[in-house]
Amino acid sequence: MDEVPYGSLDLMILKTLDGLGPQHGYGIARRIEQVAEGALALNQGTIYPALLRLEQKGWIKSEWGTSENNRRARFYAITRSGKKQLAVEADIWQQTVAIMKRLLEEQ
Amino acid sequence: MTALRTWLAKARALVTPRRLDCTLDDELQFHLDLLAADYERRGFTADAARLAARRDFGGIEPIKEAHRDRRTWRWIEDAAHDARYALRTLRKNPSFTAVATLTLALGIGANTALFSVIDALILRKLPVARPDELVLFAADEGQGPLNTYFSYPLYEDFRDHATSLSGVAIFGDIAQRQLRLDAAAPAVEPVKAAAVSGNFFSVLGVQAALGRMLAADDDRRGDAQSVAVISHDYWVGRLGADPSIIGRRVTMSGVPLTIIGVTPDGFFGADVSGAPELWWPIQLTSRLDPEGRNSLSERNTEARRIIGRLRPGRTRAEANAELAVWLDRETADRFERVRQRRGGVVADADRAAFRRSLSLQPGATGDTFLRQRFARPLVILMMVVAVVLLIACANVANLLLSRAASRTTEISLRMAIGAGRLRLVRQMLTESALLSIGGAAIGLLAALGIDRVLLSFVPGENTVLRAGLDMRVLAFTAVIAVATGLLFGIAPAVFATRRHATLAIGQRAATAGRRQKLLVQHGLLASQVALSVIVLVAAGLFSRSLRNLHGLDLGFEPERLTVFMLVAPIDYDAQHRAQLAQAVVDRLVQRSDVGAASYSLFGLLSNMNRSLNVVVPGRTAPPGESARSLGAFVSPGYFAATGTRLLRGRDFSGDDIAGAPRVAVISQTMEKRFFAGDALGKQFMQQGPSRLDGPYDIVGIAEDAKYRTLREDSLPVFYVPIAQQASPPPQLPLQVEVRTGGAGTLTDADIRRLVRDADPSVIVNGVQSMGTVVDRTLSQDRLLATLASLFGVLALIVAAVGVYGVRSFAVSRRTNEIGIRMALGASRLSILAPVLGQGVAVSVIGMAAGIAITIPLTRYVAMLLFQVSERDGLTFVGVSAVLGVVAALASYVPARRATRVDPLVALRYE
Repeated sequence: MDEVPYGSLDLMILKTLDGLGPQHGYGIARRIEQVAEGALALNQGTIYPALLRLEQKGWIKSEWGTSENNRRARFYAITRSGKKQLAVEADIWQQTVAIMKRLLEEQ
Repeated sequence: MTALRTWLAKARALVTPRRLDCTLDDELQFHLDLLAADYERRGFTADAARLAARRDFGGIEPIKEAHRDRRTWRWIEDAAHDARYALRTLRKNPSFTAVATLTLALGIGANTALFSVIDALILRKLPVARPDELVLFAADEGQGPLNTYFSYPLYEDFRDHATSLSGVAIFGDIAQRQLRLDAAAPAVEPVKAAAVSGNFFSVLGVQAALGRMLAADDDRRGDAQSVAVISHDYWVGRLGADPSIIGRRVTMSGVPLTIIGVTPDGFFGADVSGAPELWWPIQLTSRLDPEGRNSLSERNTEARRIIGRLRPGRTRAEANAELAVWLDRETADRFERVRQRRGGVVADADRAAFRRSLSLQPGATGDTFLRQRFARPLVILMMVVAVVLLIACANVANLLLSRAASRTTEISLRMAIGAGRLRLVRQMLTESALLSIGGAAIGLLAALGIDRVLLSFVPGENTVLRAGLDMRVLAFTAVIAVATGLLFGIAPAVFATRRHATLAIGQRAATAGRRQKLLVQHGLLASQVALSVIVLVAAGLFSRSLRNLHGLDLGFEPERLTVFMLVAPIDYDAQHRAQLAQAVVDRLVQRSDVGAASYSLFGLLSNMNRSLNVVVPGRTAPPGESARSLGAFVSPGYFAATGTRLLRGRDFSGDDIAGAPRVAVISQTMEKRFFAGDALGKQFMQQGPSRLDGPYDIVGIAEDAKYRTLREDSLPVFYVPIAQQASPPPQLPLQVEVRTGGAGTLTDADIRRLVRDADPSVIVNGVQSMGTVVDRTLSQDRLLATLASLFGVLALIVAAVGVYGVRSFAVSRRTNEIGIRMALGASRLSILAPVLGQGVAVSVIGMAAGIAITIPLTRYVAMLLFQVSERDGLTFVGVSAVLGVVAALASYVPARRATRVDPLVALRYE
């Protein structure tokens, strides 16, 4: 199991919220772990500082609501500027990955 | 954009901190519960599920910490926390807090006060548009300060020929005038008014707050508009900010004027020593002159100042080069007129007296006569108060060090449980900052008081200076406060956190650390004493200097002596003027409240005099001797009126007139210098413009009198009857001297009435008592002596508190030991002596260091002292004695207390 690559957690959160719609912190963490299929050692708590950072930047917003088990929970949703940011960052990632892939396959 | 949003989010979080922390707790708990529930569903027991959830989640506290760090600016939260903590600590030690705050208040207050006056007088720029472009016209006359007063015709020359200046304006001095605000009501009230050229406001770049300012069109020659502008202060203070004032018809000195505008708030013209309340077009001069005289056409009347604005890109030097010729031309014309009057012959010395050259000055800070007179004393006082502040800092640092002793355990504990040293230092500096902020707040109040004292020494109406605490002064105070806080706070903070935690916990006396600290404290104490020496020596020197000036034998009696000037119309010749003055004197002596009266050219201490070379027939002057003497032209009765004693011989009489033998009275010094033995009946000549003038028969010897300044050495002076003066004296006003006495008191109004009766076309100027004249010449000496003494006393008090505090601490540290020794039978004296000795030793070291620092510094004040050497032994000995006694007393009290302690109590101490 590997650490979360630096800077990629923001992108994962944005992508998750973009795909699944509003989620609470636990839902986001579980989704990321599902997708990683156990390949990622995510301390689930670390997403909370990340969520705060994204919210401060205005890429996500949050509000209190009621969860599926009828408890008060905080739900996060992606904003319009968050979607733009997601597109930008996804592009950068894809380019980086493509470059790395070509570089590594040349050997 | 993103950065801004983050900033806003953080700012929002700053004001709602508590609630956000709670919601984070809720959120994390919710997460953990769901995670645990998941594990339970997979078959974990409740406890195992909770554990597994915690493991997956990671550390909760670090997450919260990271969240807190990010939510808002951490340092602000920390600072707020530190401040709350420091406030609690300070509240718990009220006496420490009070002493520290008051000491700082004193130091900061004194500095703020001095700065506010220096700022207003010297540093602050005029509140006008782009003040740096302004140039002030000034003439360098070879000696003395620059002259900034010019004639109106010369102003016109400058104005019409300046290409490097975008505008040149002229302004007159403030004059008190009678204003009738309401045409219906006959009541008049005084108003401070100044004449300005129409372009004055546009050259300064000043926009009206209401209505409009004067314009060039209001001020055309022969067609001046009867309009005026009033100041914002006057409008608000006298007129209740009534907007209908625009267009109001008022009457000033009998001339109807229409108010057309109000200047912006804070504008006071171009001279900080006085703010006019009303400005009027200068072309109205002849209408507003009581005699209808138009001084604007007189090249001899140099009574107004000129200010100009450089065009963009042009320099002061260019403007000076361009305009110098106009001053030179006026000077040459004037010289030519004098030459013709004297039959074409002028001595070199007289030629030199006419020499002058244009010297444009930066105009950004305006012009004031106060600057030359008070700049140096104020700067010296500023240094004195800076030293006072240093003393205060040393004192508070010492108090903090003493107090840190009682906090050793607390600090060690906090360090032991992981508080960073830097964090602790910051915490303690916060405490210092609070102290200095408190000190600054109280100091600002003190500054207002000190300001008032300061300005009471500055002559004139200082409405502008009195404006006091503005943003610049507050900023200065803030900077001082922060610097002070760091200065006295950093050493104690570093010191307190240096000890190893393990050393102090549970172990009450960390002796090694304490001894070291006591050394630091004694060092601070010695420097405090040393700095006090500087302040006290300054106080001593200036006080002795002032005493010497007060104790001077002036050679005349200023009490009950009133002087005034007679300004005669320009076409009165010398004879006519002398007749007029004699008529005034005759009328004066008839009054029952007048003892004697006379008139003269060149009054005592009037800044005007005439110095001439004296030749004694039949005497060969020793090489290198100066033959310079002052010549005074006086009427009979002069010696009785001024109170200058005639030692031998006689006063002038009505018979000493033109045609009679020429006579003179000479001063003692003149007799001593030029004559061996009694000079009565002997003769001397004076070096006239072209030839020897005389001879004069010496008919009297007068005591030496201070003639030009109080500081001068006795000069050779000769008095000659003004009636025998063949060549008409220059166009100078005659001074009348009146010695009052007997029943009743001669008032200003009496004098004016009397002169008007004698000749209605003559103006009375500057009626004042000779005491006032003498006092005014001493204003800077009094300022220095009074304030330096005040600060000296403050320094002494602060030093005494410092010695007392440190010695108390040093003694209390040894209470234990003293108790044992006393229990063993040691005598009081054997205990007292070393304890007292240590305190005195520290003070003596401080004094020695202080004297060593002070001696080289005193030469900066030497030129301000009078008949006191800057290394005056008496002052140094006196200061040492006073400081020594105070230090000994302040050490004695705690030492004696230690010997009074019950040995049993002392043994249990600590």
